[in-house]
Amino acid sequence: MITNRHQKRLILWLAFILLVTQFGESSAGGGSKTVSGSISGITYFAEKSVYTYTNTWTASVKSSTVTNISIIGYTWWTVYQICTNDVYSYYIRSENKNNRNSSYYEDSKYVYYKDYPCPGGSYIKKTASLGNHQFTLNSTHQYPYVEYVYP
Amino acid sequence: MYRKPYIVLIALLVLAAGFILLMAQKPSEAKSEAAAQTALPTAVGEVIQAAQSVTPVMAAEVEMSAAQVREALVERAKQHLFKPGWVMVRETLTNFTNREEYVVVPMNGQIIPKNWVRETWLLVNEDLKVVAGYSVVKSFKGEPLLETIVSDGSFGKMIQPENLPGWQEEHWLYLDLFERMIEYDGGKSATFSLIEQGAKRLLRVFSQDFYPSAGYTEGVEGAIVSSFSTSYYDWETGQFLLSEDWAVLTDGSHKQINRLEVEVEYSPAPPAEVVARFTGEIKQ
Repeated sequence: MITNRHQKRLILWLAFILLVTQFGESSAGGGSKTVSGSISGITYFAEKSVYTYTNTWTASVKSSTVTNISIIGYTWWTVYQICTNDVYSYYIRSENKNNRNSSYYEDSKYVYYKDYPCPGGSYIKKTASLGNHQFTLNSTHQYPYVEYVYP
Repeated sequence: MYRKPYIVLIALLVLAAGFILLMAQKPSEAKSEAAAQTALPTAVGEVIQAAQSVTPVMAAEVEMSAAQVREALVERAKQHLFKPGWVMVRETLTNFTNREEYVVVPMNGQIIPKNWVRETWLLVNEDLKVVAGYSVVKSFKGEPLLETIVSDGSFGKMIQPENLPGWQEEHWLYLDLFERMIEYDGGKSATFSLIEQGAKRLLRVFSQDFYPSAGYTEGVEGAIVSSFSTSYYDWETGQFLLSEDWAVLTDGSHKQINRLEVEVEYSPAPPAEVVARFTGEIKQ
């Protein structure tokens, strides 16, 4: 009887360990920041994100509304990677990208680490996604600024 | 009273499900790497061509975790990579995308090149510590774009000695790759294998990033669903030799992003213009 109980416990532990090891998923570092507001009573969401992987890191900008508006997108968007000696090892700026009569706009940059190393003696300090979104409904505009810096 | 048999039954079912999952997962991993291998003619091809007389063989999968491989490389490098005197490390990055040749950072005018060569002279003392270093990033046309220098004062002036830890031999092993793969998924998605190349044994490191949604990189038409990288190390000395990054597009095709090659030379002395940087005769 004691042996049976031990066997059951052992089986349960094995099952637990198997579950943990089999279903443990990969998780990218980083995250996102979302700002919400409204334009003429229509709710909007402005999001920036940065996620890090093994060989790459990604940055994105997303603008969305609950219903279609005249112009949705961003007026400017900058993605950068800065090193501990304050040298920019990656930098890109895009301007005035949008969709017309839509409720969604998204842009992304996938950056390969090896393309953009930090100078000797330094390492990556921060990766960032920042800029002003654009929400235009007829002649009303909203340009919320959202910045996400990782870490 | 009736619960116990059910618990045992459920536990057995969970074990069986786990076993099936385990079996189902392994071939798919192997399949994805096999697909990646077919798309890596340049790296593997050139390694193979370098020693046509001896057929390179996939010697064995390395049964070590990412952390263990990292430690093994560090140990090998400590013993074999650097020698007292001057060491020159040349890194050459070739980018295969259609993006612009360079980007200028508007805040400070700094140039970020698409293709670059970084030459770094390191002065190594008898304890195999780097005591001075000079690094210059150049375009493929040879234009110097960014210089960095460090010294503890044993050669030339004392220049930012607090930065010396970032110049030690571990820095040249690209260990950040291992740190990121461990952070990503504990290194589970990476595979390590040994390849015989003539008298050399190379460690091959394969890792892949899977994205929750497709995205874009400059100079590549089409959305990217995942990226993979293959890197090669000299398994005896721990030296990082080369790596290639590839993007997998939504239609399943592969696009090579870059190729990084690293050479290490044991130089008698750096050129006079490099020595002058340490004495401050030439303004940075």
